[in-house]
Amino acid sequence: MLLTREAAASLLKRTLLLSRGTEARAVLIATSDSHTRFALSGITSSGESHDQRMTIVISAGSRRGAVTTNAADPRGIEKAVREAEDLAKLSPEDPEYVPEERAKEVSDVLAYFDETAEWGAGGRAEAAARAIDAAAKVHGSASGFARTRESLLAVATTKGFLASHRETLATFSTTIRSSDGTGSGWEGREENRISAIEPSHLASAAAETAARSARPADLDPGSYAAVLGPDAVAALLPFLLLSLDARLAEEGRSFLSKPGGGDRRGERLFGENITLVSDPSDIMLSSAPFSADGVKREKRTWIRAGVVSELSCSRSWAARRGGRPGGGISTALLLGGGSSVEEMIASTGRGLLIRRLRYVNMLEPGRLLLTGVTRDGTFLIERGQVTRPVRDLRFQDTLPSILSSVEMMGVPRRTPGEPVIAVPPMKVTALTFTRTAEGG
Amino acid sequence: MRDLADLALDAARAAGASYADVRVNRYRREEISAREDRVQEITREESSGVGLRCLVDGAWGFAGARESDPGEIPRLARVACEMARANRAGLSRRVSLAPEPRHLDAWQTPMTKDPFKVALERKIDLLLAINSEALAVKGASFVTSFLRSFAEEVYFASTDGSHVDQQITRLWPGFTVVARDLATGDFTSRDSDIPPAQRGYEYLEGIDLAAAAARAAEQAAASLHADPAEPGVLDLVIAPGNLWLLLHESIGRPTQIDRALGYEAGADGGSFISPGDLGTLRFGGDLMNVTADRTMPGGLATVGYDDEGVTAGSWPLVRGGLLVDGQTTREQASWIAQASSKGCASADSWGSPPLQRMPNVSLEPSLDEASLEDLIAGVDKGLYVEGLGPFSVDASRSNFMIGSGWARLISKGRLGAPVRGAAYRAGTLEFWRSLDRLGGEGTWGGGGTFNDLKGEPGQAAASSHGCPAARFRGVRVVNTGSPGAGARRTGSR
Repeated sequence: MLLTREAAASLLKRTLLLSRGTEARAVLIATSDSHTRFALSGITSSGESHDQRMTIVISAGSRRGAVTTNAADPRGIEKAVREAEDLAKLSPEDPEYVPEERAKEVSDVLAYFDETAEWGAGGRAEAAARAIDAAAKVHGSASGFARTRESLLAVATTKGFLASHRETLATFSTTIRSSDGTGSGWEGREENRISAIEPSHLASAAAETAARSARPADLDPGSYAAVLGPDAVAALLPFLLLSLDARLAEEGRSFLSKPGGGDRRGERLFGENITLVSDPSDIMLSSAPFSADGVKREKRTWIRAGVVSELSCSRSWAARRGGRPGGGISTALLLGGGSSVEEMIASTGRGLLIRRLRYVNMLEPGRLLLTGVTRDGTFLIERGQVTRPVRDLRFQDTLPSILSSVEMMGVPRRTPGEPVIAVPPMKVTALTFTRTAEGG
Repeated sequence: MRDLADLALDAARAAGASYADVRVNRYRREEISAREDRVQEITREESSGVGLRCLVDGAWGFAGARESDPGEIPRLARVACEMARANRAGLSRRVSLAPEPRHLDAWQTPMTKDPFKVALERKIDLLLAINSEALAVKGASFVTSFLRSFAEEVYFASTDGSHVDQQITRLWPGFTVVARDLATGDFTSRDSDIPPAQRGYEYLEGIDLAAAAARAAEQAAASLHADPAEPGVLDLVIAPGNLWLLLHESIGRPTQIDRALGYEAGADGGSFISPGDLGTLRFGGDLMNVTADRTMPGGLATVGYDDEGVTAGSWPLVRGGLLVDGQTTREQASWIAQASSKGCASADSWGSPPLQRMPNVSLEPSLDEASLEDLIAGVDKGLYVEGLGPFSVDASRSNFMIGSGWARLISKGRLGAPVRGAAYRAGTLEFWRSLDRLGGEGTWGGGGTFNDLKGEPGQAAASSHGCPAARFRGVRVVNTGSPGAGARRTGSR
């Protein structure tokens, strides 16, 4: 059983009392994970594990040491406290030292649901069976993953900050391959509530994509209009989030650095339909309303109508430059529009329908130039209709270019993985492909 | 440890397991990071726990819990066996384990200086010296450095009667130097090529890290003002600090038998190889010999025994250019009609069930002792590549694009000016078949990673890859987008 918030608070306070430093912070992370994997239409493994880790950060003046332990007994935690004290004494003075956070009001975010915590091995096996059944209907094979996670994050400082957050997370994903292995479809969801995930529905959609993407044809490299599903958009977004960093921008090593010094806040760098926000209390993205270093996370608008309006700031950089510390960007919502994927396809004379991108990597951070390959269903659109599957393609383009050519957007949805993001499907007028992924 | 392991195995049998194995693990980690003239962070972490894997009616179940509390063991056994029973109806193939002799043994990383016993001040001084040397180079603007030390104590036991006690120590030093031109908003970076290793602190005493950082700083500064790489088809001479990643991605991953059969389709993809290719697929020319090795001195994936108690060994993957073998666990050996496991089972934590993981995979050097200069001398128009830049690989590992950390033109057998943004891309087989000469032992080097992700939930594994410098003919060189100094800013469009 996951620790209660009250028990966590009590444990943190007892831990801080052990500290003999000038100030201290204790961070407790407890997790309970269960999973089932399946592949080639059979269950291959399943497991569960439970852990509870305490990190103690101790300061001696501006010297600091941090030790993490998963010891269960009080002696183990006290040993970690003493070791952190020793590290702090041995550490050099830190010119960027900032004091720990003081007491502040942090609103609760509802993210823990018993229904998810109670989803057991039987339920996961049943979900796998639904995917295996769907694959059988197209004479294909199913692989995938079902998981639940209960977690607790609690933070306390000797300056009076105390906050805790419990959440559940359910994940289900399946890849279905066509009978000849040339077609592939993937669907996946991650939600706080297991009831928000419908394995049968997802498996049917993956099976349909697998069947339709079989026997793909080659397509010449070039620039194509592209309809990107949410999972494809989600593969691009983390690179934008990483670049929204105030220190990197000011130091001249970011896409957001201004030649001659300073940053590009206030400039329109993306299309007017691009707005990016973070809000841990958003019901679609419920997550901890504070960070492990005790920074309260509030609603932030990073990009408003294509203009970069805010940049993420660490505590030390905020202290030096007067910004608002954000504890990193842990959630992000890219606002969408009212178009359906079908409408996007119908409006496209010639282009591509892309379900997923993989191995996306930054080629040049100064321009947010990315590359990656399409995966699990890539289709040619001609005269408003999906006409045939094509082999996976390698794209190479800049994020500002992509996000300045968004013609239509749909309703955002949460996508699996970290950071916690929700993005809409979108149609972009041009995406550059350099070659087929299969070719030499 | 032994008593606890025996307790777990007895509990597993009582709960109905036909086979069980248990790992009682303790992990320690220390990380020190520095930026310019200050220490950023000093952290230590310790994690202990028990992982129990049970086989019931041909189905696996696994349960793990922190610490080694004997009172918790019967519950773990019940949970693991109940989980296995819940999975029985969904099996497509019952688990069958290849036989393995019983082992009663202990093994540890050969080393003379335990990095956890080296004074903290000494490690801090090392990082600050790295940063100082790098920043002394004209044009270097920022530098970050780190030293990560890892220790694993793994006690393995199984109902087959094995009890194996192992202690593994690994080190990972690294740095990144950035050169920027504030006026133009342009910047470049160069990462360290120093490989992580399964060694004691003496490893670091044998390397001049500060000199390596100064060289990286010079390269970052030179790249900032270099011309962009011209796209085209060129001959390449690739240094080990770049080539090792290709061994990892294009040979190490595809020859994992579970991946080749489609078992990783739901995670990070499959392989362009099928088991039927073993013994028939021509990977490259006669000079190409690739070896999988879990006994390589200093290799990150080196062990005495794997996480199924199988003795570590080495075996050929590619011989004379022909693909001859793959990587397996005890469960997977029968999938390719082999009688025994290759010993590739590994778990990244006491809380994770073992998966098939990559051994150290290395390309054998030439016996003719060819030097780097010999390789370059044979190129009329080409590119010399070292260090890693950005890279991307397709889902079946049949195609890749690998960037460079540092690249120079080769003209008429001589090294020329540096170029910026150079990368090469190719189909995997096309690339390896274009290998025309290998360097000798004198060019030997390599690299490794701690972050090889596989499976769901994703598990990290560590492996090393040794190789000589090598020459490839007619490879497609691309520019990863850098238009060159002063012309980079395009703004929005």
